[in-house]
Amino acid sequence: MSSEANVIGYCRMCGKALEETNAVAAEGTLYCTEHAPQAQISAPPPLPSEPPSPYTAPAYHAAPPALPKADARVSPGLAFILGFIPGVGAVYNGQYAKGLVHVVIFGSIISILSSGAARGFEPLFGLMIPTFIFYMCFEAYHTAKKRRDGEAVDEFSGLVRRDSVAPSRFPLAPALLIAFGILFLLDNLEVLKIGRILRYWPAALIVLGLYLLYERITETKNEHQ
Amino acid sequence: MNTNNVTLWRSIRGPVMLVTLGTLFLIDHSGGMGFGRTWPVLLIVLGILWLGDYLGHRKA
Amino acid sequence: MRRSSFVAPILLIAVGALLLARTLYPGLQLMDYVARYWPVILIGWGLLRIVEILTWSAAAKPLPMRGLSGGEWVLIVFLCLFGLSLHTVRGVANWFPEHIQVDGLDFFDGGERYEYPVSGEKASSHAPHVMLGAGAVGLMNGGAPPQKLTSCSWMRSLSGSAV
Repeated sequence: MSSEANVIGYCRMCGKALEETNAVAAEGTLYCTEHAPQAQISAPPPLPSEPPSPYTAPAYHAAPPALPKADARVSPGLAFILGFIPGVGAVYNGQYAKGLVHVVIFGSIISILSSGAARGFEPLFGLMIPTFIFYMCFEAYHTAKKRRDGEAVDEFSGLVRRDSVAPSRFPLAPALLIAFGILFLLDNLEVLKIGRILRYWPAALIVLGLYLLYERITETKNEHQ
Repeated sequence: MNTNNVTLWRSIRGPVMLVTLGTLFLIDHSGGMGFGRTWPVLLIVLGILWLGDYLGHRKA
Repeated sequence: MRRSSFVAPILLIAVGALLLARTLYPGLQLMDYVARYWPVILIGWGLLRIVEILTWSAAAKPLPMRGLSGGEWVLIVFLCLFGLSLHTVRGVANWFPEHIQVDGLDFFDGGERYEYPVSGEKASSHAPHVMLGAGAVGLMNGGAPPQKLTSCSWMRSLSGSAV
């Protein structure tokens, strides 16, 4: 024990009264010799650098992890069951944004059906409900299996094959999105009713066939080079 | 030029969607066209931003 | 919000200023304004964030992968639900709490309620009927000699000299 006059501070960890002889200055405060942090005893640490920044790390992860470890506690069966509830399947796999998207899609289908906006297409939307429910189940099941086996899954992985940034091909997704947006807007503004266009739906099959053809042709062209 | 390969189109996507959403709700509340009719604008804006990101990547 | 973003403090200041305005002018129909103009919060938030990202882009700093983080989207969803429900019940009641008192400290001091007389006189060609609207009462009469209506309205004020 020392008299009050010699105490210069108290250990941050244990509260022991410290004198000049047994005080260790580290990280801007005082520790006793027992609890002094190991590495930075001499100088204060550098200004706290930012944690692995989302600006410089690659792709989706804020703190780039090493390869994800196989997690045996993940149960694909439970994921399948939970997938019946919209959104919960994705939440079980930690994909919260995807869960929200699932909820929104499911709610949209139901509200389209119940509000009478389908106007004759009720069977189509009615079929979409069980289809989408089973899609959610299987997607949750496969994502959980991937996680259990240690594969990395990103936020929007799914059953449908998606290209990550594929700059060489025509940007299908944004073009489709803009097209659908304009279509629905014109329908809402009473300028161009969808019903009149939908009459020619087989044209969509032709367009799809042409697109796939174009895809195959460019594939074989790339192979030959 | 920015120092990583994230285009301006990509990082601006969230706030621009937010502004669009707020504008549509404001129009709805102030007696203009209801949100139930104007919602496709969201799809169009999202598509344009997506397209801009794709084009930005292509140029880089 | 991102640690280095300046949008959160600005929004906080705005919310504080709104509530302070209510304290200074107890008669302010804050709930009415909020119910009608709540999307302005979303627009302002988005614009601030856009300006911030544009300045980062001009200063050649690294751009964020996501302009709005996941937590911010959750906040936005809650804001939308809250604002839409407020808008739906707008006009039914002015239910901003007048007084919330904790241990003698009044958080929302709604001021005192002062009554003042209103009267009106009108002649018209419609059948007599009473018209109610936005806190005022009016009497529309038809063809008969001008009818007089005296009533009492009330307002809130921190002091008696507001009228």
